[in-house]
Amino acid sequence: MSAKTRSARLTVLGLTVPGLLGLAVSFVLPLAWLLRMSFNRGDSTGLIEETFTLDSYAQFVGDSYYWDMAWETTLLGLGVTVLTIVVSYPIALFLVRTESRFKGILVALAVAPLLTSSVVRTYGWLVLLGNQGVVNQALMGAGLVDQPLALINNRLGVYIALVEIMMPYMILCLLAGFGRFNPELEHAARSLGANRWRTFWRIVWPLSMPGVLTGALLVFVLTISSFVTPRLVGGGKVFYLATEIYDQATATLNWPFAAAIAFILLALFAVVIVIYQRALRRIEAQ
Amino acid sequence: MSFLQLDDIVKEYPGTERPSVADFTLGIDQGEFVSLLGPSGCGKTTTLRMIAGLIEATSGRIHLDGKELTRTPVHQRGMGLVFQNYALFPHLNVARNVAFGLEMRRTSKAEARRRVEEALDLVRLGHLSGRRIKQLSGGQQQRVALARALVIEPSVLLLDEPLSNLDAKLRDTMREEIRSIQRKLGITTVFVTHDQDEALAVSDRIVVMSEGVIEQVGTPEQIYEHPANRFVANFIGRANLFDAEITHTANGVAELDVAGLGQLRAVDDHGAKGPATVLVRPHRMQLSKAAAGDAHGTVETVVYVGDSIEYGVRVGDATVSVQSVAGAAERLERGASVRLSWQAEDALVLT
Ligand SMILES: Nc1ncnc2c1ncn2[C@@H]1O[C@H](COP(=O)(O)OP(=O)(O)OP(=O)(O)O)[C@@H](O)[C@H]1O
Ligand SMILES: [Mg+2]
Repeated sequence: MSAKTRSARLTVLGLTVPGLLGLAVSFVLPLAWLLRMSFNRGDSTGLIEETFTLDSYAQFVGDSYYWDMAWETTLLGLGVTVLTIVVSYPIALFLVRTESRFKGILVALAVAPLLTSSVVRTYGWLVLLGNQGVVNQALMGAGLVDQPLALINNRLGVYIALVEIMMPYMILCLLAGFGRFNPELEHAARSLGANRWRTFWRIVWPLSMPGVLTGALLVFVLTISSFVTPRLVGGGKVFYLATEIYDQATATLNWPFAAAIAFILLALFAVVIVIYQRALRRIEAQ
Repeated sequence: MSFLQLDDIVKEYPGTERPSVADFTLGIDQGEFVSLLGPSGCGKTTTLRMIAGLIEATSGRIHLDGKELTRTPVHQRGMGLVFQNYALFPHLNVARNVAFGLEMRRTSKAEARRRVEEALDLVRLGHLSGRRIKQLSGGQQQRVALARALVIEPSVLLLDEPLSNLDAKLRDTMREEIRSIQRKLGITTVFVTHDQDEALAVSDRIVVMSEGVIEQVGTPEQIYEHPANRFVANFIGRANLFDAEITHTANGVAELDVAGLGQLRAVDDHGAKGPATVLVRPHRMQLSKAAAGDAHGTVETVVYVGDSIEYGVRVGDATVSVQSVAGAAERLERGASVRLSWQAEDALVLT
């Protein structure tokens, strides 16, 4: 090995080691500790018995209440992902196509909500969707309903708020994923006899797949792990895995069980990531 | 009315002060190969896209084969388009790209397969039908784009600078190929280019444009030998333009008093007296050595380019280009005093 490549390797090593160390300390170690915790025995008094048991996992698997919760969580992830795609896609497509000189500003505006914390935006939705909120006031004022609609403290509110909160992420992913797209391709398809509808499904949609997939993965993962929004907008009346982890850890003080649920959630992530990779490989092989 | 007839086409983009295309009237016959030629920004692409239906004309009418097209949407016009950047679908392979137009027409599978094969053979790419687009060279992509446009048997083939992304050698081969395919299929073609050599080499007729208007329409020969005005003379080939005073015209030949060169003659179709501009191509200029007192100017630059020698001769405060066949005449040095002249039939009076 020449001196040059050796020094290059040292440089690479020097640059990566701090990052790897940081990752190990801040991520791998806590995760290992959490995994160990999930095999301890806990109870509702907060006592933790150091042992090696699958009790917590068995408790989860053996109770249909938790199966329902896992199902609702998955459903929330899928639902929010699909709805976010539906509402974000037209915006992203517009931003890709536009020749406006304000394009940069428009893109910035579309992702500007990321500048405020999702906690703040969640409170915003509480104000908007509450019984005295703008939406209900408007509906009643217009005489469309007599009673305020129940838009918070239920699953509907959680969906609405999460979709809005996830939109900027989705738009960013879609914009990045449109790499191989250019408006000229639509013109070409149109000139070859495709109407707008077929141009979209045969050309635009397939070419946007990488962005759609990446956005879907990100939004799904962020959604099923989100805690603040389901908790606040759900008003403690709807339960998902993430809120349950919080409740078990802070209210019930059953840390081993909380840790077990965390790992079950992690398993869900793993499944989704595998699906994502498969799908990505398939569209790339085209 | 011609096969493809454009009448008084105008395009004004919102927010621009003058129209990008104005009063564009042109008839194109069936099977004709017509080039739109002009400098960048003169409205060639805009015109082509209005024919294709990708851009709506602000006013004017387009007829194809006697039928009004102006309101027909793009996908029902049945024209074949080839774009400058080819616009091939990156997620489809070569054969699927070519088949796209047929699928949109719901052509039967068997027939589509046969026609795709034919089209790919036509552009000599039959062996690459399974390739992905990004595995093709620029020239090959160009051929796929051509095959994709031709396979739908378009009424008109529209090409927007199809060769400008290719290197010089390939450009020449491809333009011959496009022309021979066009002849073979007898397909009416509109070809956009800003390269005059390209336009001269392939076209039946050339439409010279500048700033959105047509300057001249004619065969390559007409355009080169009889440019309608200074713009065309300057744009097509190299040109020397002289200010002159017409003193007398008879039988299509004008007697001239040319600034700095004295009494000369030129072809004149106009027959008007007074000030005029005279066009003489550099290779039609005659150059001879002269005594200093008798000279028109001095040789300023001498460039040897193999086949010929190009002189820049200073006359007053203008520079005249002269191209002479190398070896045929005595070679002149820089600083030499010279006389300039031309044969009457080699010069043309412009309006
Ligand atoms: N979408 C648009 N909005 C406003 N002006 C436009 C638009 N497209 C083109 N133009 C203007 O119209 C004029 C003609 O443009 P066009 O693209 O037809 O030129 P071109 O002859 O094809 O030039 P090039 O050789 O550079 O391709 C230009 O001045 C251009 O700036
Ligand atoms: Mg152009």
